[in-house]
Amino acid sequence: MRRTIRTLAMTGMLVLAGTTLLSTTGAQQDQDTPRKEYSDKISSSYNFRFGKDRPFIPGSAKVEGDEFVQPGAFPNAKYCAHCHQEAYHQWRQALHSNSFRTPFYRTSVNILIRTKGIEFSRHCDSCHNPIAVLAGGLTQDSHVDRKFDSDGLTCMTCHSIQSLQSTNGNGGFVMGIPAVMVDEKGNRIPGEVPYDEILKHSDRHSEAVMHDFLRTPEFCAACHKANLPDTLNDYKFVRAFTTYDEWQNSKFSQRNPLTFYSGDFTTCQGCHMKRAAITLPDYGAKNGTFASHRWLAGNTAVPFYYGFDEQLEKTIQFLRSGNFMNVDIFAIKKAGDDKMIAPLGSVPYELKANDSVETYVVFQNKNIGHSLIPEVRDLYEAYAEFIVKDSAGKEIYHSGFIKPDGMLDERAHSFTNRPVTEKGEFVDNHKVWTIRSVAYDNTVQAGRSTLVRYQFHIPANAKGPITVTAKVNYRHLRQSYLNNIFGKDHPLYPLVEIASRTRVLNIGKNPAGPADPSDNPDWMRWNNLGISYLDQLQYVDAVQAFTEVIKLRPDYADGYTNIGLTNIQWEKYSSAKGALDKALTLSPDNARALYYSALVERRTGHTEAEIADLKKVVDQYPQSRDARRELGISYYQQHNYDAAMEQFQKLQQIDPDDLAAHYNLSILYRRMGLKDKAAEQQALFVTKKFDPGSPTYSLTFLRQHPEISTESVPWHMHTDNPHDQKPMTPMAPQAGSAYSGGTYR
Amino acid sequence: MRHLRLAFFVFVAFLSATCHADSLCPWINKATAFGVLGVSEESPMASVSELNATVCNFTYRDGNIMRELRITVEQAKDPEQAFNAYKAHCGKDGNSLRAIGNEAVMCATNKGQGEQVFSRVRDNVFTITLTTSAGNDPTMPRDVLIEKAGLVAEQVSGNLF
Repeated sequence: MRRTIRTLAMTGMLVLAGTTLLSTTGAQQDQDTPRKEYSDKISSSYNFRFGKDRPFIPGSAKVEGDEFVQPGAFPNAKYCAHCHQEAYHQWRQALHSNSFRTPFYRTSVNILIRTKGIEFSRHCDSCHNPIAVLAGGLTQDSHVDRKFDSDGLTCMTCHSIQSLQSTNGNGGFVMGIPAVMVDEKGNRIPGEVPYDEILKHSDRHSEAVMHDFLRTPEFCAACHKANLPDTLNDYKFVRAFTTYDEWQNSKFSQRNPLTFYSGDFTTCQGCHMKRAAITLPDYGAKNGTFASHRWLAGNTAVPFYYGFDEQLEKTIQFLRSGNFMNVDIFAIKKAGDDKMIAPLGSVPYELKANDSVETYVVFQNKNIGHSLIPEVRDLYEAYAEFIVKDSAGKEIYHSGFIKPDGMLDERAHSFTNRPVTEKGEFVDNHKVWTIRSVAYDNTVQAGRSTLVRYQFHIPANAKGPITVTAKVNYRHLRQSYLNNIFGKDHPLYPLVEIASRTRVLNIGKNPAGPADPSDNPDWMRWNNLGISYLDQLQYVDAVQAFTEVIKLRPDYADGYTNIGLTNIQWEKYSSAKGALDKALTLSPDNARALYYSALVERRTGHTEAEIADLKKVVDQYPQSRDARRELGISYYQQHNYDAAMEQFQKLQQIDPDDLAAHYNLSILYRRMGLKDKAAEQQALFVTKKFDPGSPTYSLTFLRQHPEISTESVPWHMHTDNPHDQKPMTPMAPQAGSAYSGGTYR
Repeated sequence: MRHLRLAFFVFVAFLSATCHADSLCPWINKATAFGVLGVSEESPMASVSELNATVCNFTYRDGNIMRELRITVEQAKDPEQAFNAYKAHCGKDGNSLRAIGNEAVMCATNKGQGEQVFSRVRDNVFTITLTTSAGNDPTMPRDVLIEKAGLVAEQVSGNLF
């Protein structure tokens, strides 16, 4: 008891320190002593299930000093709001401030707590509630006042991080003791500091809270990349989501020579923290603008639930802006005729009543720096909607509709996935620790395209034009999960149309017409079709599509490289060589063509040329995972082990999870006599490698769900088989009865 | 006899485990509950006066001042009806609370010296009553009572989801 009173007294002294700026040494000592006492007290009842020296496992978060930190050491957001009103206003409505308290998160994490134990939730809360983790609050007999829960990731969580671990995610940061100022020698002053001191020394405030890494994608990787370690699932390492890797492999990183298109360098912050004019006073503003602390992205559920109308409106605007997705109703084929009529709009054709029509719709992830949809896509609903109407507006065919009970048409083409358990059951409620396999994953990676086929029949009495519309719709979250959270009596959550394209098909003649300025040029439309075919393993069709590209753009080196790439995947190496040689004639230093040429040279035994080409790629793209990996393999095959080791080590710096790096380094280290390092790499390879038994779990699931099993087949057709449910038109966001008229929080 | 002794020890071990589990409120921890009442959980002025499967009652007593936080949770067959019955306690003074459970309402109680929240998460209907005995409790003016009752409501609903 005496000790507790002493702790309180010393904590009180700390608060007093906020009114008088103490010397750094004194402040540091005053911080250290109560921290130690606090940590000792927490430790006495803390569940050290994963070891005394690993208090935050299964998460990856670390803290300087390796002791628990008092939650009060983190100045709260209202303290910061005094000078940063704009930032506070935005943050309060943003996902980061609501990272813990929302029902959407709690429903899932509570299941983990109830079934396995609260200590396992350190895995999730390392990112969702790091203060609770670092304060030692996630234990059965917790003595931590959780009043900070409602602030989630507060200002001083991000701005107290001192360094980053590898880009493994799961909270891969090292937290410092929060300080809003440094002294004249650069030493951090813990705790709150009077505002006038900060204003007198704003440079020292910046030094304490702003670090260059805050503006890097690697900072975002600390939480926007996740895995499920064996300490969580009692199984093995399972990759969860890889938004950072997806960005790194996209055109926006300029680190990957193998992207289909090129683009300007853009970080996560470049899209999600765009500068905008301030509406409230903020000392952090520059020239009247401030980097957005709304982190606009796809989550409409949180602002809808909390009544953050401004955030909701801006989120919907964001989703509809930026030319993120392109929808192209590219081609049709009439039943009994193999000829593809394409690209629609650019070629004439005729249609008759009673024709059966196959429609080829290409969905391009054009300008998203990651997949559609990223991260926990088992909880989301991103899907294609396809509507065919006759001249009177009567529906002829509709795929991807919302049923009266709010559920999505089971036969919709969905850009989501279906993780399954070892019993082949769908992992509902995001019980990630039970994931053993993924039955299908129809996401569209950055820069890539997917082809979705629809078949419908034109009625025999049709006379006027047929209108065909294809859309990408998004709902955060899927209806069945919302039902699990609230029961079925919740309002319809917002459905957002991200992109859409309509074409009119006349009964009779359809002449070619001028291109719609919002459409991709024809060469790119063919290219996207080729990319789709390639990803669906339709190699003949892919080569034909890419051949159309080079007919329209004979100067386009990538068109030839795409033919080369397709032939490599098809194992037609001599055909690949011809195409790649042509690409290199047009663009001699083209890293993408050089990379694929090197793969062909390896096949033909031209090792020197192979290594020379890969070195040129690495020179241009030192952070290319693929080039580093292949160069490492080339050196290895040459028995040049030092050079091979260097490449695999660099690859591991780029991607700490790369399997080829683990595997090859384990062998190379053993050959070099580095037994400990070899054993470490071997163990990492063993836990991270694919479980060959897992596909059987997927097959069990797909057998039990024939209505969606076709989604797992790369090539599949959606048809107008009659459905017995009447469709319901997607609605604009609206408050339901349960939520109307409440106080906005 | 040996079996009896063994059975006794097993019973005692079971009892102690059960007692330990029962000493924790499922919807809010003591540190947070007593933090709301403005006191450390280890203070001699803090006590848990009732703790079972449907009620957690935390009290702070300092001389003439008594502050109390009472939480009740029940599973209702007809949650909407049960919620509306509770909501009727607030009458016209009820203020709908956004983003607490499926639905929630808050109103004053104890002649303005307290706040009540009625809410539900799916079929769990819960009530929160935060009161102070002091007419002008300097640490619990009305706005603080409202803020703290909201905080507790968020904790409880969060744990019920």
